[in-house]
Amino acid sequence: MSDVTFVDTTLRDGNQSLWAYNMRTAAMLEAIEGMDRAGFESMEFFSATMIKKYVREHKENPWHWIREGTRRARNTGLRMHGSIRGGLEKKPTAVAKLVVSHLVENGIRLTRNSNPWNDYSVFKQEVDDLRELGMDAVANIIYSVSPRHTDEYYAQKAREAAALKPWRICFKDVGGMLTPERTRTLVPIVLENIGDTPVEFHAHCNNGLAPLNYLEAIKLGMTTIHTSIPPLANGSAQPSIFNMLRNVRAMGHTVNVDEEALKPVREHFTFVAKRDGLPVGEPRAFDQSVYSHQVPGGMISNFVHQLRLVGMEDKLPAALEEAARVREEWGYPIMVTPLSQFVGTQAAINVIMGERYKQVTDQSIQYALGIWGRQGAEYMDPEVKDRILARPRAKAWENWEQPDPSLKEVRARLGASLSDEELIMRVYAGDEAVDALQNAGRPREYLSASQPLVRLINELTRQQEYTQVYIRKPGFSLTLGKESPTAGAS
Amino acid sequence: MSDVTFVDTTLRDGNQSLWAFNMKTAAMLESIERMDRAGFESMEFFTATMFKKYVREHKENPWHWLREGARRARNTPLRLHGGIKGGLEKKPTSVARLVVQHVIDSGITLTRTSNPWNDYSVFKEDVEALREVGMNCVVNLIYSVSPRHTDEYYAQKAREAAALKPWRICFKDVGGLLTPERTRTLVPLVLDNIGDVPVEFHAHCNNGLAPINYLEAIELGMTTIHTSVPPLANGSAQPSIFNMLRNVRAMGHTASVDEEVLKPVQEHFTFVAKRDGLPMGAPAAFDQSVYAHQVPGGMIANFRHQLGLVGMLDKLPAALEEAARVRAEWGYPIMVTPLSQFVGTQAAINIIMGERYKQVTDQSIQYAHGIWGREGAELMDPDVKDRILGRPRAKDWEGWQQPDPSLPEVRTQLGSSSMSDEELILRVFAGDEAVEELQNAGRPREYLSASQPLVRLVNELTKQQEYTQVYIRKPGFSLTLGRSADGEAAEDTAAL
Repeated sequence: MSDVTFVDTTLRDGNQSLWAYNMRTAAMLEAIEGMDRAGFESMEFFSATMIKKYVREHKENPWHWIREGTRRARNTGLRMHGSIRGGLEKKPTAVAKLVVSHLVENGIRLTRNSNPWNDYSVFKQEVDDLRELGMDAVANIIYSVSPRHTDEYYAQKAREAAALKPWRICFKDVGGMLTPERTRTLVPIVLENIGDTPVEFHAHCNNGLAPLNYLEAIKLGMTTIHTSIPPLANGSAQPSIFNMLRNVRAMGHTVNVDEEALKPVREHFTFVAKRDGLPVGEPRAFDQSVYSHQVPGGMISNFVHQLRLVGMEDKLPAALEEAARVREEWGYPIMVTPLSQFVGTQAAINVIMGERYKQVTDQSIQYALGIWGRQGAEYMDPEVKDRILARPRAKAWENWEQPDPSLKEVRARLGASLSDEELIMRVYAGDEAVDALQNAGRPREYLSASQPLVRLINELTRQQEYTQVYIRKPGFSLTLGKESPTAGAS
Repeated sequence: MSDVTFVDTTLRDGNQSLWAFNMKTAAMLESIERMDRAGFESMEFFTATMFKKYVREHKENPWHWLREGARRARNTPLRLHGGIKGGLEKKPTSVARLVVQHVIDSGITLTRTSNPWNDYSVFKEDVEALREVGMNCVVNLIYSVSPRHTDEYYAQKAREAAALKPWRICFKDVGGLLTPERTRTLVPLVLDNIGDVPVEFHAHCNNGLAPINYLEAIELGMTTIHTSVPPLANGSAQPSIFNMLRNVRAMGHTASVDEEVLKPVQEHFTFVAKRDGLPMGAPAAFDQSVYAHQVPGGMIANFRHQLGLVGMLDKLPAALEEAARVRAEWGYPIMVTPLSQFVGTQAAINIIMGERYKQVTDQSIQYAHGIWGREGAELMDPDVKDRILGRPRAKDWEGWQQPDPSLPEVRTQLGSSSMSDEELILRVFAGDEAVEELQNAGRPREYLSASQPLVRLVNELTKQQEYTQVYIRKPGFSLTLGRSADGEAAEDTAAL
């Protein structure tokens, strides 16, 4: 039986999908040595998206994580996630390249990236540029469900991806929509069309089926899979490493990951979840309804919010139906950020206005002009495209190009004497946040789960409702009081 | 597109699979009127297993539940679970029949029953005996995984089940082992072989796949499914009614269950779970390992415990492998209670002794004799059967028959000819001592409602064993809870 190998996603995709990057640097640093000893093939470690979140909200310097984290992970290859211009959050190419160079300097030589259209002509430049900077690329093939995303589509896309000669291809189920049946038809198509390019499988658990889909894929010969450590597994993240180890062993495969090394890591993150009020990833029951409209869960709650603001909460089913219709008219984009937002927002506007495309967003215009991918403009229903573009505002975006200043120009704007690291943070997080970071103290140290009394006191003092907590045991008493203008000290 | 109908399992299978029947009568009574208005085709309501648990542990009279519950559910037919002699917990047939008659007196005229071997020749008598006293029967066809449980096996069993002309057949995935793929091959086979007997589908969620299996089955024409109200859904119980309603509607089917009516029921049981420390059913991730040995989760925990006692915890994987081997040698019984226990216990003994079948349990001997089903004796590997039966103890069980006293004999045994039927049944199922305690116990506990947070807070705080005193103060409000254990509490309160 073939050996199954594992790519760990805990610190990047788990952290992003389940905790919206609310895992603090100290919590990551405390875990990474244990993870590094477990026997993963590689670990997702960093994404440029983290720069803004960590600087602005956590007041933590991501370069500290990059330096300290890489220093502590000596056995396992670490991965960046994303690329230079493949992503849709448009930063100057020169700065994005600088990020990659600095990661390479810290020993990170592998990244995985997507194009939301699976457009490998755009990707080619990307893979070449990354290679030049010393970074290998894992090229994603994203799974989607629509009349356009046929077997033939995936055979063609697999051939195009392989033609780039990437370090590896990753078959990616971003919406957690694959079923065991579709896995059985699609995996062989991918494998047959990628030649000798190695392949891995990255799936989200939204529909609860990813663990089973992995097993089907392994049977068919796709034997490198992405997993996460609970409580950062399941939910909308990857399957649990513990579940998958048990499952692949039960199928007779051999594996080199040591779950004993990972149990303290799970305990640590469970403690962090409780301490910081972060969600614990749980398996989900199958949900057929996502296949009709494919609007992600987070967006549905946003729909409800928007509709409530205008007193049209009862229009939610209509808005979801409209989203399915808009997606169809727009040529079935894969429902990933930001395309899913563009589709959803336009659908909500259509329902709220009571007339379709009476008002359109700037993003709808940009989409119709091909700014968010040439396929968007090509596949869009011509009549819808005419409706969107037949307004004065559309002229403003025609032939618009994203400004792409050189490094020199960026420096000239932000300060000639800035270090590369500071310049990158200023571009991604903004001046104000970087100034605030520089004035902030040391990053917060983490308590360990083995200090229950300290934890109890912290938890109790967080309760807003009580001004005082008094606990007494034989030989022990504890009083906690909150200073408050209305309650005297006792 | 079909109209999908729903059998609710909350009060029986949900209560049993997830809460081990720890849902008190008051908690059931508080929810049943709402459940009754939701539009279920029927609701699982009672099983004779509840007698022992409710009398012995809850000190509650199950006849109170039968009368009051049945009175409050005026719209939805209620169901008994289990037959007269179909079950393997052997009680006198005369008493089991009396139970059925009294359940019928409460207006319940439908039951669902299994034979762990899918042995419809045994079943026939049960179905007829039930029909005779006025009880209709849903006959289970249990799914299992083994080289013996082939398409041909299920085609044959489906025909045999249909030949009994039951009220309905129920395709039952007791271990939650079905996959969407197997559902697609097996459901058409069942439908093709049962003629015009109606069918329903009852699945457990152990492997997380039951919700998608239901959808596959509905596409294939099996449109009555069993669901439960969370938190008594998922886990090792049935899929959630909310999940299935959303799913079947998304597929374009119609369903006339009203989830708005059920939301307060979900809230109520969530409150009960928190209050009584009972588990919340949650979806489980797919687990391939159960297919290898098919030992239920509860039994694995028991294995661990037994092996730990003899310092052989490292032998757990070996014990699970041995269970798979024993099951094969015994002719692949379906891994349901009590057969799964017999297989598991013998496997654990084989590992602990270091020699296979050196020691055997009485149940292993009985199994080999066919006492737990004629197929057990027929399908067992002859060498293994010889090893088990080639010892003096086996002679004791040869030709043994379960005594089956008549009702007058039972009355004589219990020493009272004037005892009411209801009391007689309680004494047979729960024992004299427990029934006497019940008679001396007070009213059943009333339930607090979730809308009384302060009362709940106080209750929860006083449950904490570690603290002798809890003092809470807010502007205009202070609260001190003291435990009088060490006599110092009063003094401290004064110190504040």
